[in-house]
Amino acid sequence: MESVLSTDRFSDLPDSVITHILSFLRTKVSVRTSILARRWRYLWSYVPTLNFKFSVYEVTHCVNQDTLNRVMLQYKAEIMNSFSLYCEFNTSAYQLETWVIFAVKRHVQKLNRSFSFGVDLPPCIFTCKTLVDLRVDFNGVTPPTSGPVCLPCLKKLHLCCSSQYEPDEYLPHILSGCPVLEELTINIFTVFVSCTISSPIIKSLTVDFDYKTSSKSNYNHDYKLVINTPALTYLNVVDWSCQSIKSGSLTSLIEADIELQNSDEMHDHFLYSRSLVEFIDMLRNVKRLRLNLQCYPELSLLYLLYFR
Amino acid sequence: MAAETGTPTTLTLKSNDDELFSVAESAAILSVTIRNMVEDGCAGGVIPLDNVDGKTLASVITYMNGISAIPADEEKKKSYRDKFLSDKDFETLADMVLAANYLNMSCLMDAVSAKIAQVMEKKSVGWVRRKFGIENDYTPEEEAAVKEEHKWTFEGVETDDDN
Repeated sequence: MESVLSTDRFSDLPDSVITHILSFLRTKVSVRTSILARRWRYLWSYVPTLNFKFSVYEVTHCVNQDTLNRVMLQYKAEIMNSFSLYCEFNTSAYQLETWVIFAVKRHVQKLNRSFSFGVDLPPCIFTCKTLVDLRVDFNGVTPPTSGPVCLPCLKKLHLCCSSQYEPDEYLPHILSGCPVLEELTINIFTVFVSCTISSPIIKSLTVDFDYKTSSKSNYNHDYKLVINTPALTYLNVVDWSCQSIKSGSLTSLIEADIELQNSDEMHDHFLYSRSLVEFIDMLRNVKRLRLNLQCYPELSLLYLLYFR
Repeated sequence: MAAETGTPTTLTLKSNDDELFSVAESAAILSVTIRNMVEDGCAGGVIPLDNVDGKTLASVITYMNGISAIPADEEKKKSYRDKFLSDKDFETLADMVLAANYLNMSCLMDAVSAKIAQVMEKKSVGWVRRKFGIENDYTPEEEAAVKEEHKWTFEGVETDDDN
């Protein structure tokens, strides 16, 4: 009796539990379960997530945009919690828009679009009423500098930016359309002049301008970072070539994780160190601070004076 | 509400094989099923849990006590969950997901589901059928047709069926 019960335990599970388990798998693997038995044939199509993440081998041998289209034609779930698209194969803006509309119509809450390959994002991403969590990659694409941005439920936003556009051209525009945003992450891997992050409501901010992975020639920068986020409780800044860093009041800050290294081509050591000391002064209320500063000796002297 | 009427803060749970367990009410109400019983005033005597055996219930109670002892720190809770599930075999995970579903404990349900999915990802169709107790009721022709229809999902797959 005992052994019969134990081998049957999964057959007793309602479909909703099985689709819940399948929602933690890549879509490729959940579709594969259709081979298990008749009951499983269409279960994958009710899984409330689509996760198109492929290995390099899969992209070159067995997956293309028709694969995704076929999956979506058979998909039956009316509510989609999460839609992830990390496709590294060529696709058109029209095709991408079709996929995104597919998710938006199913009230998608979490959308992750990595590896943009120069295809502009469909504007409907920025007016999706149900999105709670959005990650997009502006690699070689036009970020929204005008046009409607209305994300009334968005709590978490992750932007990866490496385009010729200035962060100040699109960032304020995007943030103005996110009235309940709590968590913002920005990665910038390109040359720019100024990045101003202003939001009265965000609680967590991660700024990563990390050029470690880029070639040495990329160190050729001259940019300013301005943080104006009074409600912040967590701040993480990784910055390897800033010329000036400024912050407004950070009285609610509890935890900060700061890693700064000044550029080899620093224009004005005095101005930089002054901005840095003022910035660090803004962190005085934090309960947990991790500070990693790798700077020129003359700057270190300043810190020593400050922290004596 | 239990707290207002001074109901004892310890509950007695009974598994379907008649084992009795004492657990703090504050930990037990992680289960929405149990919380509803407490709120409806049905938790005075012994709470029978007809769909959970003693071995699984003991494990679930260990989890309830462990996770409710951690203050609101999502990272610490996550690492507790990872550690709690790390030594569980597939059969135990199957029992846990059934129990978590019955007890309506979303955090345990998600953690166990993710763990089962992680195990399934790398296994062959035969392994999953065996471990899930799934009887293949396709005819060979139907099975071949389903495989052909979703051919791309079988390409580039390496499986590891050791356990």
